[in-house]
Amino acid sequence: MNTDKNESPMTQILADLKALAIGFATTFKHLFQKPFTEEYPEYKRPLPARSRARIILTRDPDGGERCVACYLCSAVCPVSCISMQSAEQADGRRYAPWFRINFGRCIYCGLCEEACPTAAIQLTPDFEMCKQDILALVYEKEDLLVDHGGKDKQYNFYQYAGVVTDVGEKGTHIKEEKPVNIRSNLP
Amino acid sequence: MPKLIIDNQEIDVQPGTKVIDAAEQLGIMIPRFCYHPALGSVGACRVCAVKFLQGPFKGVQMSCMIDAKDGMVVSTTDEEAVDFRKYVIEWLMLHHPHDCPVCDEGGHCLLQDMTVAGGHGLRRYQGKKRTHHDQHLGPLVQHEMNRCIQCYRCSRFYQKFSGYRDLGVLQIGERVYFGRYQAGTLESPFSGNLIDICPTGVYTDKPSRFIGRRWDYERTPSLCINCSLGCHTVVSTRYREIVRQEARFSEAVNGHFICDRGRYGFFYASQEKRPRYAQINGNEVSWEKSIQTARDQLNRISQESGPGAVASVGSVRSSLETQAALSRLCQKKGWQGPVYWIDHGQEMNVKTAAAELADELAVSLRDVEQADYILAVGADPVNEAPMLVLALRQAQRMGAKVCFLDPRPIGLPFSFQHISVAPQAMDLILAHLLKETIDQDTIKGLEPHEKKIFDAIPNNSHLVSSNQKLLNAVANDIRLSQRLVIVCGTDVVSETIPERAAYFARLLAKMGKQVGLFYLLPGANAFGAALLSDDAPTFGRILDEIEAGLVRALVLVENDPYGYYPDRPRLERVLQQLDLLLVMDYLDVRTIQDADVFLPTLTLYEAGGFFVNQEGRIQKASIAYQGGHPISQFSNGNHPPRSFRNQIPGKEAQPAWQALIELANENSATPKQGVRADILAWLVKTHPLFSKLPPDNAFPSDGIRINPGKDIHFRSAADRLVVPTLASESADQMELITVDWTFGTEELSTRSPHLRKMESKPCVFMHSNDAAQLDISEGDKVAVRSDTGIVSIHVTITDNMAPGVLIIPRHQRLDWQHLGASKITVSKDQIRKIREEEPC
Amino acid sequence: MGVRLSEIIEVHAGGMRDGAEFKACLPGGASTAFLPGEFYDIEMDFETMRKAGHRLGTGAIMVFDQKTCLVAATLNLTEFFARESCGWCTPCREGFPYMRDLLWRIEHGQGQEEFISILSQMCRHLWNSYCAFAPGGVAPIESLLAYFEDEVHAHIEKKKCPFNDK
Repeated sequence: MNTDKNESPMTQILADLKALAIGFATTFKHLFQKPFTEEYPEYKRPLPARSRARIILTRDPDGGERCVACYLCSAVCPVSCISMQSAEQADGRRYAPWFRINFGRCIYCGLCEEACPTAAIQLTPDFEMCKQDILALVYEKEDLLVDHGGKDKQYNFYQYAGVVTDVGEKGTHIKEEKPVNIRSNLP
Repeated sequence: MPKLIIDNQEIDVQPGTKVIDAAEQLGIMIPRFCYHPALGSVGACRVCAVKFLQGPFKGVQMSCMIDAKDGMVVSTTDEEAVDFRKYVIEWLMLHHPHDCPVCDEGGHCLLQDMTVAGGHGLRRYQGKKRTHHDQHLGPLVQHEMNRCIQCYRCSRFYQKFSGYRDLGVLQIGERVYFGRYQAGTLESPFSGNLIDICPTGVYTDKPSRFIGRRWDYERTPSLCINCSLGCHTVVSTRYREIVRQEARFSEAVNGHFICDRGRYGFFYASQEKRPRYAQINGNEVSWEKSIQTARDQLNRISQESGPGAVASVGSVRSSLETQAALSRLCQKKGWQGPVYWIDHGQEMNVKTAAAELADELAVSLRDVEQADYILAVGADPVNEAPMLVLALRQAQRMGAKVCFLDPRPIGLPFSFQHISVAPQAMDLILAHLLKETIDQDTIKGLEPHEKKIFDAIPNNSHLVSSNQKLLNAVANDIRLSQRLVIVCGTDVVSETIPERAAYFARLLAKMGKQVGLFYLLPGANAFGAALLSDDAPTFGRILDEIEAGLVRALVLVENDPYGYYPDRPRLERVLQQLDLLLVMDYLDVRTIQDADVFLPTLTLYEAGGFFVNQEGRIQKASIAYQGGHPISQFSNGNHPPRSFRNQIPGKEAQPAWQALIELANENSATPKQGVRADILAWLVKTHPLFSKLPPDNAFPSDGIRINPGKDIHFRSAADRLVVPTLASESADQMELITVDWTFGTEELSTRSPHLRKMESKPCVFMHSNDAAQLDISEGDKVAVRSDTGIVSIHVTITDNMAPGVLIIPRHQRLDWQHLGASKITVSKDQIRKIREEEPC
Repeated sequence: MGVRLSEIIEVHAGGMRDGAEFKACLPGGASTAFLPGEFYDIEMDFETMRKAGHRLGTGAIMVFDQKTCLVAATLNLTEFFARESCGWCTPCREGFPYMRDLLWRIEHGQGQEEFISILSQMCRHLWNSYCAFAPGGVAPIESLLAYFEDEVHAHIEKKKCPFNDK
């Protein structure tokens, strides 16, 4: 507010009244405008695809589980809310027989997604996870696993990795030569 | 002492130190792949390049190939060297597969570390990646050749260091391949070390494949108790389960490596069948109730028939704390025991070994590597103490000669001399060698009692004359050698051998030679048992007393007579006669079925403890985890239970020493804290030998050696060197001995599902002459009849053993316990060929 | 010893073929550097060659005319060294196939400007190999970049081999 000592008291009062009038006018004007406020939960605003909330485990384009249980997400997790066990599947894939995320602890920082080398673990925009029972926030693998590829639809780790699985033998992965024949001296 | 400057820091190093090691002493870790302290420098990987600014070498050179010299100025951070190292990493990563997430090495991979440290992030190379087929290398080692960076460590370890030939390098140039000519199980019992030395994930641990990451494991220094050598290990624990065991460096004992029996012998600790709850007559009860019942019953029997009616049996696989607690209990209650030895022969051999191993004669496993002649008597290292093979191999590589005096078909991965004579004849041959070797001056200077022993050695017999040429050569080699080690077994040898070996060693020392004596004992803590067993009777004697009704109660502490007692029918019968059988163990031993009271105990991984190895070295195993039911078993492989409890399930077991002290006390209010310290205090008080024992927090990594020498008094092992005699030889008689095998006979490792896959089928070894005489051919099945039963077994014929001897393994898949004794004499008509399907 | 290169080519070897001009030669087998035209009259003895920064090598002289693509020739030589490496040390085992790949790409129109600096750096680093095989093997590449860099650039710019009209 203008507090210039040289102005007369009358000028000051007028200036104050003007300011009041502008304030009320603004308010009055907005009474007839469409409000910006969204009525949650009646209205649910679509969030950007990259907003970070509930975590999922995705699948590769062929429907296989992407998670290879490499433990990188659990290692990077700053609140240690991810735990799992790795094992070998009959087709040679490394996988997680169980995979657990404690959403009671999760801070949705997204470091697990960043660490994941197979694009398996991804954060989704679904943030509505409030539960009365704290144990209900402990999600097991069956709760986390989805049947799509999430943000990265095409990636299949086993097409790049040089290990033998149902996805491919040695030498059949992307940018690989045929295996060396160690019994031949021919070039 | 060369003085050099590395990165502006000055350092004095021992002559012969490589620049890479000198830098490490300064805390500068120069990258390396092919260099390994045990395997030496070969300059293959070129990643340890540094720039030499001044001194005899100039420019970029490999720091592993150059000895530190005076006046050298070295820079590890020079631009040219750093750029070169960067390129080396790039070259090594050209064909590296994109599989770290599914590689078990990830997290402790040297290549991963160096790649990240070198700043290599993006692959510039646009060509295709070279690939290789993998090989099946057996149940222990997983092969993934795509990850190879051609450091040659594996072939250098496998062929040069350990002497086995079936894994090596194939092809040249960028096609270089490391593997076997044909896929198949690796022949070396040290194959697990490939996993440790491989700087990347070409060889990974198969039993722990895809289980966890190094960063999630709790790693604890521990010991291997699968033979008497006491190698140092580090165990990895996760979710209440030992997942993996690796070698831990030890300057004095095992160096960088361990054998496969030790590496994979830990699975007994998390066996599904492991008893975890106290039992009375087979019903699960609380620990307190079990203790109370046992205490009441023992007191009752003690009062009714005197304390001598209670006998306790200790174990050579128990920690020193447990052995001491048992001694204390026996002393307090007046019970018989602790019993440790099966029969008089074993007692004599082990106690003699402990008493003869004077401080000046005892050598460590690593000292054996320095010898220039090694005479092994009645020792079969591959089967009895595998790591000794590697020590012998190192000595042999440095030019030492190795000679074995043993009836068994000794197999070693290098050339050696083998005098194969029957066990009964070994003492005579050894005595003869001694006589041939010791010079006249030394004999003249002998003390009268030593001279008497020398004079008692008989002159030539037909046995000597048939081996004359070899014996002369050996005697000559011994005379010429400077640093001798005499290795002496205590299993198949007769009772005079351990003492004779020590006598030989003392005489050689008198001749001015540097002599070491190296015994092999029947268990990880057999030395401790020898020191603590006093004058207790043997197990065989206790069985006599049970039969006679003199002993009514038996306490078995981590001791399974079904495993070792050679007369099973008698054992079964006699144990039935007991009024009380109290069993304490952490294994699923058969005696639990017979036990009136059973108390579960803890393994060394859960309880820790001291163990005394065969050279008298007390070593400490730390507590690796708190015990309890492994989560993988508790939740059937599924996720851990979604419920909370305040106790670890299956964690009722206590250390055996805790149980023993609770038994000794009159009420159940034994505190859980301070018990171990009490026991150790008692041990130091009653056995001054242990007064050198440092406190836990200051316990040296390589342990401390206690060698009582003759100071320790053994009633049964008094000076009594006898004249070697030879039992009357009859062409019709054969000596039958039972022996250990690397895999399949030792009670802890046979509980490992992975080592079971390594076991060969039990077979009897027979000399080709005997086989021809009996009209038996390779692979035939024979029935060997003894006084107490029949053992049917397949035959393996060899010339590499003593004729007139049958060798049967104490194999867990063989009912050898029907033989009646661990060494027997059978006449040839007791051996009969049977048809395959014929029941025995 | 001491005979001039020109004499060897013109007199003892019967001279260049019709229409062929001397462009360069390998004075002593595959593991020596290219001798460009300016050394046409050099005396072939150890001392003179050493002073000129070259080696006499095995004495097996290979002459290239103006119609020969030296990138292709070097690729051929590098192919040989990549195959002949024993596989013991990293620079030689992995470096030669890497350089072969780069040269192949240049020759086949997939070259990029930064390949030249990678090649020259690698040539320098291959001198730190275990034995003398690799330092010899990089000599043609080093000299290719030293004397015929323009030819390499032409490959990269035109996205094809300028000697190959197809």
